[in-house]
Amino acid sequence: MKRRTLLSAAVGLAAGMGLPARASSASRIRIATEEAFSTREHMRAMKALVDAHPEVTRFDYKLWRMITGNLEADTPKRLLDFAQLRLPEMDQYGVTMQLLSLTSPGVQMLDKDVAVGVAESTNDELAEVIARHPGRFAGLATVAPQDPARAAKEIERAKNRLRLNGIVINSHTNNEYLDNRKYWPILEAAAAMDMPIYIHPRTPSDQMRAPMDDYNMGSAFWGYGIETSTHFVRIMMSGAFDRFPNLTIVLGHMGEAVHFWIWRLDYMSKAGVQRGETPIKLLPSEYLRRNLRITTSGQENPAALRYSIDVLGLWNVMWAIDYPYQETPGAVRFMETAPLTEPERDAIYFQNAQRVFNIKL
Amino acid sequence: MNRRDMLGLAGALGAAAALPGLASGQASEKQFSKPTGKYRRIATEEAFATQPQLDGFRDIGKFLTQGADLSFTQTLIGDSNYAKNMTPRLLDIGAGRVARMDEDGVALQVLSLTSPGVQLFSPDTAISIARESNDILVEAIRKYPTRFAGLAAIAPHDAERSVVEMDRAINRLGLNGFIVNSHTNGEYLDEEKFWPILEAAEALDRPIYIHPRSLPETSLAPFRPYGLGGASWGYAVETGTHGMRLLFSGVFDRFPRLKIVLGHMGEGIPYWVYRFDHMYATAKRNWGTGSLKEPPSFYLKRNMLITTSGMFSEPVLRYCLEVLGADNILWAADYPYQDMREAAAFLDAARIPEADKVKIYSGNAERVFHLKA
Repeated sequence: MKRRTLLSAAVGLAAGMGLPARASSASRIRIATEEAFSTREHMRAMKALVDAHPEVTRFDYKLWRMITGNLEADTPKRLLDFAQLRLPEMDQYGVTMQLLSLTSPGVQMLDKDVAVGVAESTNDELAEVIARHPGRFAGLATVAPQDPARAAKEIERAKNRLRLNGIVINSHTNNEYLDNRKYWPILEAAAAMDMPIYIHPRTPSDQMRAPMDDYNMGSAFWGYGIETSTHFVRIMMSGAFDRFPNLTIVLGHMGEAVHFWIWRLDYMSKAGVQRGETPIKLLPSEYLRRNLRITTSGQENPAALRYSIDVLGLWNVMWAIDYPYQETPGAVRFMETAPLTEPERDAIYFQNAQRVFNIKL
Repeated sequence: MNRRDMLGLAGALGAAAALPGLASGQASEKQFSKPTGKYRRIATEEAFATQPQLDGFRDIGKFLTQGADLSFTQTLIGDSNYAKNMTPRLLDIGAGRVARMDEDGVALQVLSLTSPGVQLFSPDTAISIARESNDILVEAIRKYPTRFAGLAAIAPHDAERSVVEMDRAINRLGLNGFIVNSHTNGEYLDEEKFWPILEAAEALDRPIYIHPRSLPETSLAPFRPYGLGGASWGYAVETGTHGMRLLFSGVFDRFPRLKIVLGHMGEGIPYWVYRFDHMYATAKRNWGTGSLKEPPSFYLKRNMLITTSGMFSEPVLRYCLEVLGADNILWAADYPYQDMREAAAFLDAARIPEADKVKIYSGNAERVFHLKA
């Protein structure tokens, strides 16, 4: 018996997985909101990139050498698949819908023109996948921040022509962050088109990385969270939310710990105002509640979930698995067993995602 | 004005956005009434400065021209309103401070030399200013033995002589632990050259408090805009990363009784406890990486303690209580950068079990720092 089959068998016997019987009930709606995929073209472009730079030892290069080295291995196979592995797994665990996004770092390590091309073809393919399986998938458009003007245009096309549900940006692009004014056309288009920007982690920018280079700390242990939370804080402190009040940023991993600091961010901001600085119009906590939405990806920690509901509000928290990097049964089990009321569970499982990403079931 | 002066000025202004503490330091006192005498409040991250340290800051200001640490130290010896308010309070470890503690309901302060301590100085200067400052600290404690305790300053960049000073600090001066202000010249305590310091702390059975300082210059770029290099964000990235390096390096397998204290509710580390355990186990299973004997969270609970300094948030406290337990959390105010009354009002009002509150206010500090109960 293969490992996957074993898992399936265990889940069939819900008790074996610690899953309450209702986990497999078809009646509950579950929308998973940070679910990765890739395309053949994306894989080819990434392979060309890592092949052209054999000398680079950075974590993301090592990771992509591994992923593109054998597309038949489990992770790339699952990234490239929709119907053979993904949908059956969704069915098995009662996942109604996956909100798909091109896996990190998307097109952001590629040269500008290549990146723009791969982004557009990825979005076309994504729209086709969604159309082929009605009700099972929604999607975040990929854009190439390397070319802000075309990225803004692509956001419009993704919204109006492809009917996608938001955009994904994998944190820094060439060590630059979206608070940089040259990227504001992207923020402007996203706000104007009501397309939330999901800021997904990637390996920290070059200058941030050095103290995290040991013990693989630049990865999901620590560095991804520092990179992505710092990105959000930069956007907030730049005044972008004053300029684009409707802009919505989504962070995974239970908010990348930004709101762990909510009290201190407010305190330091007030201290700045007392010193006569007027950096931003509102308190950080007000932007966190107005402009930030978070997902549970990879953070199956009930205490962090409760903390997040307490400080950000129930309406700002959404469920995510992070397929295929995290296990679907674990993410479902987490939600089924988390100490939530049933209305809270539904809000996090699907209602908030429907509202934030304009998803119609 | 020549270019260097302009740069210096720009640096100081840049730093101003990152300075800890209120401009007036007075504002919050009107907001919080005097705490009642119900608890023995022991504050564990309370800053002071010594004249030799400030003189040292003056000397390095003559030849260093940039850096967030430099800006902060130069602000402390400058004549801004911030310095006029803050520096005298840092220098006062006598009657003035005790009167303030009485006003604010604080029984005892565990004092530590303000960040970045002696870590900007050359090793010789650093060792000598650390020794002088420790002597000044002990004098204050001898004058007010029931009101002050103290953490010894050390110079990590001279590990050998630091070990001698650590022994003197505990066995001769009767101090209660050690303070290290995060990195020293971009290096962290998990690196082998610093192991003698970890070994000595373990053998002396006294904790090392890792206090924030600015990120190393080489890592500062992403944090420069909006003053993010300082207390609003970058300090936590720096100090949290330091704590994570200690957790993941295996030093707690080597020194199992070593205790590390982190302020600001653990500098963000407790929020990631599920994820780093999970990802560590996954990486170990799939790629055979990682050599820790136990899950990282095991060491977080066994070898690390956190304090409430500058994080007067009840939801964060409750979260940390749930994932770390009441024995691992200490109360701290971060005087004079933050307000003792506000720190006390926060914990007094927190809806947590009374027994936990007593541990956080006093029991844990008495145990970890070997204070008289």
